[in-house]
Amino acid sequence: MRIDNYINEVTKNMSSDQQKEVADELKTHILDSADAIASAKNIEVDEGIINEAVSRMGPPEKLAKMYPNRIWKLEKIVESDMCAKCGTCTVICPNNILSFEGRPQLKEECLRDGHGMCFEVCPRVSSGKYQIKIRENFKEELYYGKGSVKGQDGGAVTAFLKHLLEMKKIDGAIVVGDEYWKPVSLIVQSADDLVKTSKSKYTISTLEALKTAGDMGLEKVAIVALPCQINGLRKLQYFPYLAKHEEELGRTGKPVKIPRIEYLIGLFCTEKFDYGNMKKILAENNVKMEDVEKFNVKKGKLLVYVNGEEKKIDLKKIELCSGCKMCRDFDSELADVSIGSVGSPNGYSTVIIRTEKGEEIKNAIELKKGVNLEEVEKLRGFKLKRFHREVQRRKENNEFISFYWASDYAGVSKRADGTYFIRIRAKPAGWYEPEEVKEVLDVAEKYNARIKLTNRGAYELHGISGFDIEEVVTRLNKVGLVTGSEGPLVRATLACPGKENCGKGLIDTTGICRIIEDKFRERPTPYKFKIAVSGCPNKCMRPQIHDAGINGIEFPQTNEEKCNGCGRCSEVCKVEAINIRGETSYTNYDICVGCGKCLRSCPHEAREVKEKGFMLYIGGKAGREMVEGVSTKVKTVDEVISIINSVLEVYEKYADKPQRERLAATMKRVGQTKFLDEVKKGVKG
Amino acid sequence: MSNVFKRFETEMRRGAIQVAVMCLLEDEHYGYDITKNLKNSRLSVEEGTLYPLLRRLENDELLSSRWDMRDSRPRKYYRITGYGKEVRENCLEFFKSINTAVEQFEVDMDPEKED
Repeated sequence: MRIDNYINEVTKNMSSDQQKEVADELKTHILDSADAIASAKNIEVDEGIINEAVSRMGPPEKLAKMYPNRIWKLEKIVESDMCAKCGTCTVICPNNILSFEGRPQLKEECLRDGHGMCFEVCPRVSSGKYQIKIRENFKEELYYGKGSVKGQDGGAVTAFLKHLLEMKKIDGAIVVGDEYWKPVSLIVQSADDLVKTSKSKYTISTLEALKTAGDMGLEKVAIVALPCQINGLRKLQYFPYLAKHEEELGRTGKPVKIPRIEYLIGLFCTEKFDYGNMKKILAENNVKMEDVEKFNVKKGKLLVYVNGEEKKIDLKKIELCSGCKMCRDFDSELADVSIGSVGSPNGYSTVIIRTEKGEEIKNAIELKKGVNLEEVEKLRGFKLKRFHREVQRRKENNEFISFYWASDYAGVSKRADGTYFIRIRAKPAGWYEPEEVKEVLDVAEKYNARIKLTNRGAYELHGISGFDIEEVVTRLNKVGLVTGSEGPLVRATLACPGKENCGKGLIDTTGICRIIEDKFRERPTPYKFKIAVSGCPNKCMRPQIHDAGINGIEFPQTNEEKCNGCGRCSEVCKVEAINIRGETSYTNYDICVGCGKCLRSCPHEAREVKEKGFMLYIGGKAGREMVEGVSTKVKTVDEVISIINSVLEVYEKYADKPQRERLAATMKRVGQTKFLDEVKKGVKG
Repeated sequence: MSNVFKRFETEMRRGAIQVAVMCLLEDEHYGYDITKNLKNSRLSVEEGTLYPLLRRLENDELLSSRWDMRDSRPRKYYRITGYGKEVRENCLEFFKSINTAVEQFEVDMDPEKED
């Protein structure tokens, strides 16, 4: 019906509550108008009259624009059940205008409609996992252990927190507490309070306490949280790297005040339940929520302990938080240490240590090797299967999906049209085996992508659907094609054909490029870092406008015995640095650039190498502002590598704003001399 | 010339229509009814444009609305709020004072005084 189509067109981009109201209003207005038209013509209302009334309303786009329509940027994530209900957005709003009652919501008008921190920290908009992983260097060591404090299974969380509090490594811990099992987030500042919080809660709890801790003036905390919350909190820790700018300032001109997060303790989680619904189901099973002593989830059943007795309730009966279906993380992959019951004998906790901070749990409880990894893998697999089922379901029903896991992988970015492109890290000096190119072709054909060659020699596959990202990256990795070279890290090194291939080349650029790649490939940096290798002073790869660049050099000297003053060298010299006087050629070293051309062109081999090595440039850049790198002469490849390494360390030390300051800007701000002195010190040490 | 005048006209009209609606809604009316009333005055308005305006004025708390289920078809009735009445007073004052000022400028355009 034309009237319904028209109304759909007008309301399609409105928020769901406004959509219905406007649709209802508009319908009566149009029908009233139709009535008036019909009565003026003295006839009954029919389809034609209604259509005329519709056309009098004007084009639907024009009308749609006139409606006040301020939607919170995260609304789509929430209303489409992509929201994990982690509560991170609510915590970090600098104006404190987000509330969380079953779902996050704006309490009052947001001047920027949510185009700020809440959106940028949301783990369901983007996980940010790859950039986080290369900075945290996660490992995975599985143990099982038992704390001496009473807890859920082995009391490991409680024991660790007790240790951290006693050793004053933290001034407080944010944990999930409860009021008769209704989860609330709590701040615990003493080991004694810990006991009250130590049994597992299974429903949605937010991180409100983190904000309160900030207001209380706590400076460093440990947070016990679920996988989705850990993801959000890590994004918060690395905010400028991921968002490409500083934290949002509120109306008061300050970002939200929260303590420094020192330890992230992740829990194992298959899903969260809706508290209200759980209470109802328990009541149906004659269990009062307040009487429950302990909950556990095992083998698809919720185990409820009342008065020492165990009751089993089929999990399928309880409504789980729908956003949990889109979760891929069972064991809190991004935590410092993850703790749960799966894989350990009864009465013990499984402990997965991922970082150095996580290692400190060894000081709190005794850990043994021998976790049943299969059990853990089984639940990881279960979660992933459920995730894939849900993705498929949304695909088939044309429901909204946010491909938040795209940033789990290196080199995956969004295109302007909403599809993705995947950058394959350029092979050293751009050399490819035919099989590799064939694979790129095959993948492009299979996934209907276009192939683009970038100016830094990478293959990019454009137009990849969000549904295919995982498959494509996995497949490329199988044949040794690594994706990446995107983001604040060392990009693929550029190299010219060099000595092995070009007559003018003085050094084996491909070999050196490989050495540089092996050492620095994808190393995290404050802002993108580009390296180039040129074979000779022609500098075809523009090393002088890269963050680090080298070119080969060879300076000549005349063997006066062999030289007869024929003048050939002087003729070919590109910079006119050679003078023939009598029967000898003289080189003006103030002008000579060390390209080595004269050496090769002498018919009598009368020009010999005086000095050879590399010109190294540090701190060049092009782009918005062009800066030429500072140059020094270097003898060996090892020197080149250790200088670049030192440069990266000093850059990391001084860079002020991640994703804002290229090396050139940092060097300018700190002072070139000071910066380079520290680089030299770093090389010596 | 006509483009410049058209822009001037549109902007003046927008302000005037808002005030007109606020006066009209001293009594309760439903959507189409308002359109009809405005048509009969010199401030005719394209049909579609009124409804987003009503929504905007309601968001600003100048109007209140209610759904009425009694007639053959559910209808949304609007009326001005107390706050809306205050704002309306200010708007009417403003229009009158502008009108007076402009009239005075027109009178002052005496051809004998031109240099």
